[in-house]
Amino acid sequence: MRALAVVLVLLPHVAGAEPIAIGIAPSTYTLSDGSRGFAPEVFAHTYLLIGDRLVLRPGARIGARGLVQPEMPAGLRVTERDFTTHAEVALTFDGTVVPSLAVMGGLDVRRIGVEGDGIDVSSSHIAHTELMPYLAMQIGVGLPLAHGTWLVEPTIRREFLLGDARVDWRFGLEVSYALRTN
Amino acid sequence: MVKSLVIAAALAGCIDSSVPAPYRAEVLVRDEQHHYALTDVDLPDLTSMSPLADPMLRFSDHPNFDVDQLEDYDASTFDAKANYSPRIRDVGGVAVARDIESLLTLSAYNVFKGVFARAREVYGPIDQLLPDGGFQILVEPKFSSKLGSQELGTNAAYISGGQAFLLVQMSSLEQVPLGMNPSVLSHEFGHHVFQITFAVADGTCHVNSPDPGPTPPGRFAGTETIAGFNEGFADFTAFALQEEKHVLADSIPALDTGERTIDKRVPGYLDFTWNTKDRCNGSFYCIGTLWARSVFEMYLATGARTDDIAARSAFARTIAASVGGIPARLRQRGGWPASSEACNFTGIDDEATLAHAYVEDFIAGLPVTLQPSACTELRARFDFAPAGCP
Repeated sequence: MRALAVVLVLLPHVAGAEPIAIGIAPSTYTLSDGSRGFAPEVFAHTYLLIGDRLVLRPGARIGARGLVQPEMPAGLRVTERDFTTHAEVALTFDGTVVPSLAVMGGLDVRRIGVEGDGIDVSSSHIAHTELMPYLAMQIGVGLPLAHGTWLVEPTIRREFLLGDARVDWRFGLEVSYALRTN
Repeated sequence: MVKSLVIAAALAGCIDSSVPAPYRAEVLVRDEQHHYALTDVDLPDLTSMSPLADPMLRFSDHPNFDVDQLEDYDASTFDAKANYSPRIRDVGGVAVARDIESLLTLSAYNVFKGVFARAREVYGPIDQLLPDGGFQILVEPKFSSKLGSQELGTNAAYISGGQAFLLVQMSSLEQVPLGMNPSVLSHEFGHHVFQITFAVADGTCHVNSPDPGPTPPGRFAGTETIAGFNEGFADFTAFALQEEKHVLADSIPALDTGERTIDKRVPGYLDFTWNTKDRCNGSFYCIGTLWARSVFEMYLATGARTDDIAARSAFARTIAASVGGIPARLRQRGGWPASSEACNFTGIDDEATLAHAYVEDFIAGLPVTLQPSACTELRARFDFAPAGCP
């Protein structure tokens, strides 16, 4: 996990960009049973000034989905747990508030498991790992705090997971901390 | 871009969801000892995996179910084509579910086919046992009403008159998922048999009927008392088709109080009669349990073994024939409270009056050879002396 964090921090350096921010992004989405799921992410951003106050914000993030499973029978459970890796680029406007429009792409690794309690699952082929391409668009409104050292950004994301049409909307709150500013 | 990603995903060895016909699938199967296992089975009748359908079953994807329209539902309400596709992958030609809901639907399909095959064996002579247009299966529908939408769980259901079944959202109260349990789906099919016997004979209630009378069509089937007998008939159907004596035992053992057990020899059986039915917490279901227990004992009184499918079949056809004749006999009785509207059941749902009439008219429709045991068993449980009994 520490190695991943190091990669996230170093990624903007590789891109040759200057400012760096890292953050966390807890979010929620609708599970198949109608209840709410929880999907945390960690991310790193860098900032490229491309206009007067227009900023391109490339970055990367890793996350998890499936920490909360939909309600299932006690005797038979099919669990789905995802590890997500996404690259992204956002267009932001550096103002009193910081609106952003981001596109994301990446890969989700899903581990499907099957568990039986009193039910024989020994012959099952359900347990499996899947790789699924991921695309998303996200809009957010960032609120700079402490002279821009912190950015708190409520977000709405429309997700497309090729191979899983159940994935649709995600609502989150991103909190980032500027490690280095201009 | 999307195409490239799909190709990338395919190269990464991920999902192959195209399964060739004739279809095979991994589903939950129960053996005769009630052991459950995930096993590969053939699905020879299945004509389409995506959407899931064959000439008899059409799976519908999370449709809206308007509870306020329930009384107006008929077969045409649920005649839409299938649109539910299970999320599967191909494992050596076998469709393997990629989530719990897909496993539920594939398993339910297999269980329904088994129930239909057994129903043809047991109830074959009944007209329109299986409707020409087949049944629609509503997969985890969303329930709405004037009060708003809501999620309901832990159930499977039959929509009377609609020729449709519901597979409701699963819950952790279930041990074996209800929609994968042959006894539970046999119970639901029993409601269909009750529909095509009792309810069809009772007629269809139309709210705006210009001809309300003392016993307009559909007068009896909608009452809570008859709903209780409907549940009892469904539990008896689970016995007829699956030799099941406690329809919920496998699926909801945590809530098993013994009040639904129809065989008094089963440990945990909760005894009660009409006069002591406050001991039973199942509301109108308790009326049905009294009837189902009586009919089960009538079957044993014939000397047949419970595992004798031929004997169960002959007995079940006799029972269904008598039940189908009850509405006409109820109507002939007369004296039911007048109602101002066709579907106004106010005044008719006097439990004892209607229940006693049902029991007496059920006995009257039985062969004379069964009537003595029917009198004995029903009198003992309903705490009254049925007319015509010695």
